[in-house]
Amino acid sequence: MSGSSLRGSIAITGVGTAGCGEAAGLSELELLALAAHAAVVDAGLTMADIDGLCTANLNIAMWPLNVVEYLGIRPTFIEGTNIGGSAFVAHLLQAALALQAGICNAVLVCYGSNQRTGTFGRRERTIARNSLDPAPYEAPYAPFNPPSSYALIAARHMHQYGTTRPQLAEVAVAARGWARLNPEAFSRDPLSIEDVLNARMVSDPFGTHDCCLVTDGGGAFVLTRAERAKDAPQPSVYMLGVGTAAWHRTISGMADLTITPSVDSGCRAYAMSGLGPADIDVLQLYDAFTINPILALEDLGFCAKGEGGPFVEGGAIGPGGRLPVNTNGGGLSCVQPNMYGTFAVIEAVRQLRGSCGDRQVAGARAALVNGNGGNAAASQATAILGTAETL
Amino acid sequence: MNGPDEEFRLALESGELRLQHCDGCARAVFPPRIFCPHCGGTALAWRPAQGGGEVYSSTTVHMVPKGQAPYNVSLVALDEGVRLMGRVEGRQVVIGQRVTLRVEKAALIFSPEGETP
Ligand SMILES: [Zn+2]
Repeated sequence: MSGSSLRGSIAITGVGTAGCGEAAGLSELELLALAAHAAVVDAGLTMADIDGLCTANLNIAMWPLNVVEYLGIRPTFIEGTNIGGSAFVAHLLQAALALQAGICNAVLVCYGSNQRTGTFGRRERTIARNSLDPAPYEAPYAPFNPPSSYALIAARHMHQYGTTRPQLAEVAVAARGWARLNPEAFSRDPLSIEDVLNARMVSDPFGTHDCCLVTDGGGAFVLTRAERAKDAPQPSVYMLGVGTAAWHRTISGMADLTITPSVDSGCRAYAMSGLGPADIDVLQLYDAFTINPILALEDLGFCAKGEGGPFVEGGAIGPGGRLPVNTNGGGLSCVQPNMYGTFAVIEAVRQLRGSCGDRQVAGARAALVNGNGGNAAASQATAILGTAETL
Repeated sequence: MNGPDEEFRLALESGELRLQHCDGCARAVFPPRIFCPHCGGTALAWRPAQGGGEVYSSTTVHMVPKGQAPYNVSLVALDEGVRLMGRVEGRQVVIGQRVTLRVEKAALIFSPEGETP
């Protein structure tokens, strides 16, 4: 039941990003299209070759239709499941099933957002969503979401395991260290533990540097069956395993605030891939807040439950540390246009291609991507990607 | 016929927190449901909450409009075995501390046990 027949069955042959940071004057569809076009060219294809589409958007209910019309494609496989920012990692499973079933030959996974500079930005969307998707058992207490929900998670983790604010700060400082090596990253100024601790409070224990960026950006990648990927111009990156898990919607409905669904999604991805934590060379862990990579490291078996804080101390996940995490700078320092999933996948691909320049992890062969979605670590999708050698 | 959400809301507006209890597995259910999420049973009976609980997690929201004070948002584990969001109003809010419920303007407000609001 591990789905191991999907191991290595599909490959990512093209990736593209656009407008990471600030992209004033560009619409969400334009950012998506710029990234999509770059990914399709990178894959050695044309838009006419795309016959599968995976996409999601936080504002628009029938978003795949907007994208189909704008890109001028008529796909035979359309996947618009939206489980939050993890969606584009989760899409890998559905895309693999469709490709293997022969429903389609080239799937484009794509996203774009202008939440930083657009006229309908973060604030407007929050107001609209409060009426479209009300949380009647939480709204009266006005949690400042998403920070407050993750702050409740962090506070409980601190209470239960002794995790400290300086340990949370290590995550932000490591991300900034990587971002400083990445010309595409939005925030590249030096950042110290003290800077993180002294920043303005948002929802305690989080200050501003514990919270991800609010940027614009588009991200896209192209998937084909593995045998077809051999003709692609770039080194192909293979999907070795993938798993998705969703347990709740609201923070009130989260069974144990210190345990996320990546316990399940990770197990599923490991089982499909036949790999374990010790086989992973580089990790891209969705860092909506500094607590997220700590939870993911625990739930994905890189350390025991409760030991994520000590694990990240001393620059352990930054450049030169013992485990490279979020090598692009992550959502904390590189790019975070509301849904980060595509960008985590793209950075994993770039690492496995060996195209990351100053931030390249030498000899990276297997990468783990963990997507996080919803206001309360509600959905998690884990993917394990590898070079041709790992097949 | 009102659904469980509406029944809950009407009780809360009259100043009372009521919880569903499942005949099948004897567990309390929150938020209100059509069937029990634990055992699938459909025999759910309303009972008033006893009002005691423990702070499970807590945060203070500092992102507030100018001139407004930061405020507390907590998750409280009620003695009935359900966890819900509310506001704890106390000199110091600590995870694990015992709290007592009052319903104020259809909202759940808690005070540390022994501290009179
Ligand atoms: Zn029951």
